[in-house]
Amino acid sequence: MNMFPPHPDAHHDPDGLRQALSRLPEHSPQAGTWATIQARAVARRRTRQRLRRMLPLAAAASLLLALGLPTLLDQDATPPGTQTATQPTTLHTVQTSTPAIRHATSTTQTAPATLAALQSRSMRMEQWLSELRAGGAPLQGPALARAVDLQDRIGLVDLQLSAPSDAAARKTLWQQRVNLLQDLAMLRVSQSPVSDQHAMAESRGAALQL
Amino acid sequence: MNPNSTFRQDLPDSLVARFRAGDLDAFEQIYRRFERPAFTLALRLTGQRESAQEVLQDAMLKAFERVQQFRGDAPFWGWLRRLVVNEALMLLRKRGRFDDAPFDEDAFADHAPGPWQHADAQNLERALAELPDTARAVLWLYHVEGYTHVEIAEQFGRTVSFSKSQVARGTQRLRELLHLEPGFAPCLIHAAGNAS
Repeated sequence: MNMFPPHPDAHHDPDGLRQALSRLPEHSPQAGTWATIQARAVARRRTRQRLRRMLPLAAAASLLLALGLPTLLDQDATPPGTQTATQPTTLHTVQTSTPAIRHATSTTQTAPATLAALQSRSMRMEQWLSELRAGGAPLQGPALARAVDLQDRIGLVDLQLSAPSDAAARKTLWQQRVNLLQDLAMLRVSQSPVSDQHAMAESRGAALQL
Repeated sequence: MNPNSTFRQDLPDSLVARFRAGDLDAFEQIYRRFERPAFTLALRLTGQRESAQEVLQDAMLKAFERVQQFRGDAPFWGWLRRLVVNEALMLLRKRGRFDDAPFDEDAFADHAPGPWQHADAQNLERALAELPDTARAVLWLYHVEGYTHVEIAEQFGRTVSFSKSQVARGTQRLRELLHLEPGFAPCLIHAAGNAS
């Protein structure tokens, strides 16, 4: 408002009041006003920065929560006729094998939908984990040992899955695989700096919606 | 707007750019340039130094935090002045002293030279400070800042008649406060002053 030349009627000054008011002197604020303003500005900036730091933390917390919620597994129904992995990928080859798996189709799919959901979930989590590893710092110490242990156990499950078994057994094995991947994901997130957790939280959407 | 107002300052683009980037040194430079006109405007609108201090601080902080909203298609000083006006009027609203009493401006039309032409600045300032909040703010925005009645009406969320009435009321009240014979219905003037 009023950033332009005033309307002509504002210059109407038959009794000289405008002129008299315009001649009044300017006044100065109290000494130290700038110091107060500066302090308030800095305090508000710190508050905003804290909020900005807290948001990724909150997102990371929600990520951990989401990964730990078994109910999510039941929401991952794979649409009929789309890709379904019947054999797990390995953690070491996931980046190169994922596209092939995505386009793989099973002609022998007889297991219930929950098995397909577990397989789909497993594939997405592996892909997400591979992206985390590519973008994050390597694990060290106890965290590295824990990660190696989890990967070994996943490899054991993969070995069992490669052998012939009935549908119920396969479902159990796939459930174990997903659980181990969740543990691995949580380990990864917990070992990452706060700044990286924001990116993880953002990619969480991709992990859960692929 | 008062052509002598020191509010009308064009800033270097580089200074505004630094301010946009959150540079506190640029913020201080801008504050130093505008502290007097901004404080004076706040003082004229609120009538109290303490309130003017509060308005100045809040307006400056809002400028710092909302500078991204400054589009740059109008002078920076105009944008800053609007923040000061908004803060001052917000404070007046908090006081709950907006005066809505109807006023017959025609009954008080007086285009004779006013006593202010011969009053010294101190007396005029004192009289100005004694005006009802609404009348003082409208009078200042209209006469000194160059707001139109339409703009004032928008700023206050009222009608154009409201703005015209307040200008007439404030002018008449100033006459009385400066001890010049008003010559018009003094009982109404007192009623207006008491109502606010």
